[in-house]
Amino acid sequence: MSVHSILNHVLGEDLPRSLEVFAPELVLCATVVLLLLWRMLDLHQRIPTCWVALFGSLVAFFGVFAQFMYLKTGGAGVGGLEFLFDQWRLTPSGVGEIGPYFTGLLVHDQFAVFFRLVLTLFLVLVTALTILTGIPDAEDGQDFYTLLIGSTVGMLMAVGANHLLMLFLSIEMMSVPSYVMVAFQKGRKQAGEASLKYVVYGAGIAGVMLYGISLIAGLLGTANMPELGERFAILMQGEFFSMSNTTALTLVLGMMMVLVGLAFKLSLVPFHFWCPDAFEGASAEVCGFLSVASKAAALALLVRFVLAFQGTHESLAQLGILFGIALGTISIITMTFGNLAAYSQTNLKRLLAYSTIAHAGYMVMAVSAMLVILNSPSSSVGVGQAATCIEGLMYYVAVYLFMNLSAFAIVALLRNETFREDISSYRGIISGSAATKVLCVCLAISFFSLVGMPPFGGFFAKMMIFYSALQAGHAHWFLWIVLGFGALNTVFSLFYYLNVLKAAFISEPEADAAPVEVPGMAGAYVLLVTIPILALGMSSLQGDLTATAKYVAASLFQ
Amino acid sequence: MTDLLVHFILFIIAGAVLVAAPMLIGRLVRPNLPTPEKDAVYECGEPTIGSSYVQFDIRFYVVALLFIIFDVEVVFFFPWATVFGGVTQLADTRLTEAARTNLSDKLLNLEPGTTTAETAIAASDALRIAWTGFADILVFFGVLLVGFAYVWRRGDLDWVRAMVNQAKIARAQGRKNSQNEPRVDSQLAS
Amino acid sequence: MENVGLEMFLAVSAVLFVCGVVCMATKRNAIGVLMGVELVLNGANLNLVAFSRYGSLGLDGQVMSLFVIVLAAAEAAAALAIVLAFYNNHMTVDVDQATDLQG
Repeated sequence: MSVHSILNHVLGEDLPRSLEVFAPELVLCATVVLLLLWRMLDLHQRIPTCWVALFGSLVAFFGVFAQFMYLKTGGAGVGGLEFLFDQWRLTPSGVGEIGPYFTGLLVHDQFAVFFRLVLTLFLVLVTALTILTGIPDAEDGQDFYTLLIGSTVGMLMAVGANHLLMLFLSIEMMSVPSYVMVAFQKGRKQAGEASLKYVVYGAGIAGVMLYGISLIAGLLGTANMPELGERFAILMQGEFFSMSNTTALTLVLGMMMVLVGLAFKLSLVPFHFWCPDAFEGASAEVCGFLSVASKAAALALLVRFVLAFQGTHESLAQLGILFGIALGTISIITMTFGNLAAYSQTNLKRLLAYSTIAHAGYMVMAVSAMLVILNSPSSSVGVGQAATCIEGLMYYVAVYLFMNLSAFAIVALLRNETFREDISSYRGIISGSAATKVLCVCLAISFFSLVGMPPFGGFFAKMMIFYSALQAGHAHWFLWIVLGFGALNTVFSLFYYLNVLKAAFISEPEADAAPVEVPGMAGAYVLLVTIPILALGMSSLQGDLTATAKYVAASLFQ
Repeated sequence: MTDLLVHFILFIIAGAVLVAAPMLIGRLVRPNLPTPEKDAVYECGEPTIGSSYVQFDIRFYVVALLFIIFDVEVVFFFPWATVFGGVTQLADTRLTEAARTNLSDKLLNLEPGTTTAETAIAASDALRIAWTGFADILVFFGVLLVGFAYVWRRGDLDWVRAMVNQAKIARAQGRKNSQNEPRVDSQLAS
Repeated sequence: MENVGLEMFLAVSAVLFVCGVVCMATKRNAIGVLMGVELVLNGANLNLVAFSRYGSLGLDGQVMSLFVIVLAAAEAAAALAIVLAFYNNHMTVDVDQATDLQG
């Protein structure tokens, strides 16, 4: 191919398409620059920087929403949608076409767009929450939102990673700002310590992960993720995967190093140390951000990474089963540890951190089931069932967003009133104002949903993941054990959540405590993020989301 | 391989011997008469004042941290400059055929003589790459400059003004409660 | 010296990696841990560049190592700033002294 034709392809076709798909991220980048300029020109005295950040993230959200609807409807928008499509200049050859962009560094598909939608929606909600609780003050608002948006841009790139460089780059882009965000509360002794632990572990694990990436990329001779599986099969040519083959051994070592990095971001046991400490030291808003957004992005990366090593070759199937069972084991350990450790906690943020760890275990169960199904030699399960796993995973992520955000928002809003975060400070808060009562009811809803009680969204999410594990059990009996542990853990987890609710609803308030008076806006906000939990459990929205998830999952295995 | 290994081993042995031998000889030959002056840390012949593990002012660190960031960004300029330099030369329409193929080989990292008159980079294409590269670097550098201006505006680079501010705060607080006066680093102010 | 091959680069990078990991695991000083991280990152960089020179990775490896250099600097800057904040609160950079949060 001559330089002329390469140039024509890159500048004429690839670049416009890439910019079209990447436009929401570019909006966020522009917002970061604008925030800094805003503060420099002292405009923040007229319009606080938080509103600029909220506006930028809303624009980005609508950008991704337009892309999502464009893909779903095939470009045939009506009314408001048509207007959105026009505003973002979406074209059939740009957003309408599935495939890699930016010369193969990132990939545009339904899976990526779904996760980008979740992440940008979450960014909008978190920004609104920080405005409500006033965590960054007027002087350093731009610093906080720069970090928040920068981290989100990293996550948006992570869910579309198609190249090992992007894998590392996006992990770092989402981690480095979050280290600083954990330390953001100035002068609080614990924040510095939490952040130090997070950054020391995080930097170390990132190094190990990069070494793994260098081994994989070097030995397979490519860093392009879709080619990895094929190259691996060629390298193993003819011979079965065995431990005496040093190249294979080195490659598996490299993959394990990358999986360690992802496990750290997902806070899977034994790479969870940072999570409770970081959560206790950081403000509740940042905890919410870390627990939902960074997990969702890491989960999408995990799916992308393991799917890169899928193929028809025998050695790949063996490898897939191996990793599937390893992830299943980690899932068992993670959810059991998370739930057991949550019992003895007295700080609510720490309790929620362990609950987050346990939930990561449930989510990894779906990935493990998917790997086992895809690589099973038996014909009773196939791509259809694998899609069910991904469907369950996405449903879980969508519900988890609202459950956890609601819980952390309540912690943050009550902290603003009581200045405490331990469980004993929740005793009898139901006797407070009307808005406080709303907060208590929402806390109950989000906790019951986190447990997986029937009418709420969390129940259906858990059911879908358990169902996929049940299906995978036909391919390999080990998944039935994982499923058994999952079910047991669900029952375990009920008690420590109930403990908090008991304090809030039944216990008498402490003798010297004044009734908690939460502002009305706080009640409205919490209600806004809690209603989707109910809606995803009981209304037709559930069917919609399931259908969407099904459609997205199917597209991943085309 | 073995040849290289022998060299390495020779170097290591020679290095170790050259260091160890004088020390050993010195130890055997010299008289042992320790005095406090001999045990003292040597600092240009002057008597030492205090420990060398002193704290540096925090502003050294801030400036160093900012320097790391802006310094390392320059790494991205190197590959850009290589390509940009090549294509701006190629964008010249007055180049001879031979010079054009030669430059194309260099830019595409090929063996000399690989490109022919047909496959060499045309002037119009080179111009296109040059303009694209120029736009890229403008955006990149522009964003970098915004960050730099922000840091500057916040006074993080301002050594003297930071001192003045600190002194002002110290004076204001000193007026409020004189018994609890914060320490101003007099060494650096002088 | 045409007999310097890929294996030698990989051996050096493996040594760097192991040194870095040992440094991270044994150092109690936070700055020391960060130095270990730098060693690991540079070991990986050496791998990438060696593979791009001798293997079939091509320019991808060199570009990746450029990005890693910049990311390592950004990470080091953020980490050092955090260590500094920790020092201001605790008057130490010993990671074993970070024991306020435990449960």
